[in-house]
Amino acid sequence: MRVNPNTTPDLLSSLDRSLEQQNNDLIELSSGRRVNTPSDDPAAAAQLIQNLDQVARTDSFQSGAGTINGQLQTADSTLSSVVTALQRAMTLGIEGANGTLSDSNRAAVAAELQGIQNQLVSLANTSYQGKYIFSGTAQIQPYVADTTAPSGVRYDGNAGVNTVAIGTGYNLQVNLPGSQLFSAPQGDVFQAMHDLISAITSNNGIEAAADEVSTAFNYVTGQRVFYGNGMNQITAQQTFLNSTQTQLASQQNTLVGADIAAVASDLVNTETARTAALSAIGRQPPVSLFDYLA
Amino acid sequence: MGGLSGSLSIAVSALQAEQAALDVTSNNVANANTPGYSRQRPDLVESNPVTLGPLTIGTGVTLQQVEGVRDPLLENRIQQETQQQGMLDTLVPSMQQVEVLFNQTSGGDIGTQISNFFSSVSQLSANPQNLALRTGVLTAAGNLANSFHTTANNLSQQRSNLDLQIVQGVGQINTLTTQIAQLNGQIGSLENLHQNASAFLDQRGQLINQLANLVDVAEIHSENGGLTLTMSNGTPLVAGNQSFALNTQPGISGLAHIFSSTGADITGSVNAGELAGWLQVRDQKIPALLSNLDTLASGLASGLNAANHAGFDLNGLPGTDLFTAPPANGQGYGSGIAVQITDPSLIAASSDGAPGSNGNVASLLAVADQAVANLNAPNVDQQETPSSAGPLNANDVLTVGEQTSVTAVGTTFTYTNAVTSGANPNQVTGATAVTPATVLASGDVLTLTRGGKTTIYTATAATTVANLITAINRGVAGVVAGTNFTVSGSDPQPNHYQAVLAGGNLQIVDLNGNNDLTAVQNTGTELGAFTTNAAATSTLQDLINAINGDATVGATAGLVGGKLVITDPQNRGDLAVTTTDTLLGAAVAGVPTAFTTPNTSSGQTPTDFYSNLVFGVGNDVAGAQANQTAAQLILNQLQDQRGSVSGVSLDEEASNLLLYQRAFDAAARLVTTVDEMMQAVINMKT
Repeated sequence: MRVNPNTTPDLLSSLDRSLEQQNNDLIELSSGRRVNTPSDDPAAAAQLIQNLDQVARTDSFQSGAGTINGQLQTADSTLSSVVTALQRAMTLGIEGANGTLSDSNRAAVAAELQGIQNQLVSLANTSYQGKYIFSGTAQIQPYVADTTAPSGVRYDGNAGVNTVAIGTGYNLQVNLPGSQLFSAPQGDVFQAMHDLISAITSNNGIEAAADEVSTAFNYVTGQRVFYGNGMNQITAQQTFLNSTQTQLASQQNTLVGADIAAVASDLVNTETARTAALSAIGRQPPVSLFDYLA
Repeated sequence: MGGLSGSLSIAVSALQAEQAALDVTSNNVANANTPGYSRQRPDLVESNPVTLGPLTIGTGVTLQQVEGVRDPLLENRIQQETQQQGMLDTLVPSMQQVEVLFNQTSGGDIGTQISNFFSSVSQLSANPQNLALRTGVLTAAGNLANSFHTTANNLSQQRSNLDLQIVQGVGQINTLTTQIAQLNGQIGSLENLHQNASAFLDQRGQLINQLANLVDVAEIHSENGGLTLTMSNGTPLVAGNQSFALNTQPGISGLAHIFSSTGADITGSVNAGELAGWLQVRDQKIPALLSNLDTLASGLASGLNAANHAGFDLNGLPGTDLFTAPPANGQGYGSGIAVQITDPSLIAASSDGAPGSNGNVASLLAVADQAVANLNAPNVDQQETPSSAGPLNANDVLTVGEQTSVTAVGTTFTYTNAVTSGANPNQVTGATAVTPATVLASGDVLTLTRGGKTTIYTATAATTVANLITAINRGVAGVVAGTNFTVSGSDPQPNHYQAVLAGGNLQIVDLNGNNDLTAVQNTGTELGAFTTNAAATSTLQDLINAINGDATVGATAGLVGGKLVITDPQNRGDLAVTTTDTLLGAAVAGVPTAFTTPNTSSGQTPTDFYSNLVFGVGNDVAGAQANQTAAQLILNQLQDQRGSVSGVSLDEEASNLLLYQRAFDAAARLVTTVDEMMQAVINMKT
């Protein structure tokens, strides 16, 4: 049976294939990735895109949660100062109510109360990273002195609340507007302080005014729970997001990461095979019958 | 006995034959490395014997013919496989270039930019009025638009490059077919003379292989080595010694279309060869990707624009378009998408008008989870609102625009509802039932009036309604022969009226339609009083029938869910329908309003859509690469087989060399011996 006398093209084609395999292994090793173009593994490439999108979203949630946490902490510590100030005001109110103070004493108490009122206004106008945190969604100073207002201060903010997503479908309210916190009908801090100051100055209805301040104090303390809850939720969510990020990173590695050990051993095998093929081809006898004709 | 000279001639024939056989061997050795060469074999045959009395003696050997050893079936198989490989050899590199654009590792791809954009928007959530963050959103939007541009423009550039290669490829095909035709001529004349055309056959085989690499080729052999080459779609390339050139001409899109020598457009029917690979990528893969990019870009832009409109910007004003508005069918938006807002304060993050509100950020982010709407190519247009099946408004026009050929600009077909509604003062009917035989008395006069002009038919003798109808349909001035009617009046011209018996009554139609026909029988009452007919109204079904019955229009019309839907079954994506009829959806009567192309939802979020796109591209390339490897292996195997049949084996040629040389030596020895014998005979005398 006659065989093909010219086998060179076949051998060259085999050499080409082994060279291609070698190159692929080298690319995988140097990049550390099994999937360098979509055609290496189309399904994995498509899933990688989804994975990266999830990573980006998780990162967004994390950074949003961090920012909000700072905001909530500032608000909480502000309220802590408010509560302390109100406690002092209540003490002063009780003092003034026992009716043993002289005019000048009462004037001194009223002055101190006015100082506390001013401090409260300033606290209510706290800003964090350049924006007022108690003005609802408006961006102007929430409380301004206004002699025409019953409490002596006017609320210029609005009642808007913002929510921020810290997880998929997980929205957290991040602020309480001043109208709900400081000047709500159930407990208007400024009105109560104003009334107490007038009562002490006029030495009339001090007890009722002190009760008003106490009501306002209780109310604010109750509202403060909102911030504590928010911070707790954020902390818990951040832990969850961290573990999600770890999972996503490991999934990414599974999808497109190269198995270095396997690729390295495959490379060694391919190189060995190629060397063997090259030497075998080189060893082919370059003689035919012509060389033996006398 | 033939005598000594007969013996001599036997020996000489051997010398000649062996030397010729040696030449064939030398030729084989010389062409051992010639591509496409088939080894040749000398066919030594015993010369015809002569009969001398009771003896039959041979007369030596002749080299009857030299034939090339080849297997035509194998050669055919190799050509077919070459076509397949040719197609994959161009398909794979072209698709690999496309694949690069969707590679994620560089970070500049569309998928990454989409994620980056939505990340930047979500940062606004915690700080909606921060101008730096807002500027960041606009920057990310710009990057997103740029990533679309880069991809779409690169795809278009590749398409242009492929276009050039296709034109060049067609040129090469024409060169090859010309050469093959020439060879066919030479082979034909040689074979007619029963001579060895092996060398030309080898050359032709090589050329056909090159041609098969370029385009799909089918061979039809006829006797005497005649060959017809056609493409698998029937387009002739070579017939005998005549070649048929293909030519290219730019189509509407600016890309080249391929035409056969008879002018048929064969661009869509090339099945294999490099040309098929280029065409597949240029005409199917890349346009599909561009269309998908258009869909994705339009979907994102429309969704984000709508979301921005739903909120308020930093100045408390309602939001405007974030991106430039995509065109109605989205075409070309992949390379045209652009950010419209330049002032960061115009991003509408607020839901209540106050600058510190982030309520609308959620609706902007929600676009990332909304399904991208499909953009159907305009092959289907439908009216905006359902209409009744009843009468359409008179004089209203429906136009259907579409492409009729590859190179012609769009053609428009117009359907006008030319019928007026209500009364139709172009037709009158007599009130009394008559038959064609009904008698009209002599002297009866019928006067028709239109446009102030009269036509008067006077009966000159007793006659019939049938004759009146004939006279009216003829209507020439003077006596109408054989009817006993004369025609007079200020307008006795023919072809102005037509009379017919409709439902037993005489009906007369004004063919010129001036809406003012009246008829009066001045004398006689056989026909009854003439009244104006009610108008024939045309309905939606009439319009549908008109469109479907029109042979030149390629579109079909139908009612779907009460709406008129017009479809172009040829799917050229260029259908455009407008109407002036308010019943078909025109906004203002008489002003053309376009039909809409219905969108469907892809059901995929932007990221899903993009990842599916990438999967498709990667899958195409991986599949093509696998096919290419397989085709290469098959071709190698076939080449191997061909080599075993037609390849030159140096060992074989060396042994043949020995054979022929030894035989030549022996024959030379014969000559010497016969010469000595002749000498002996000559010396007998002395």
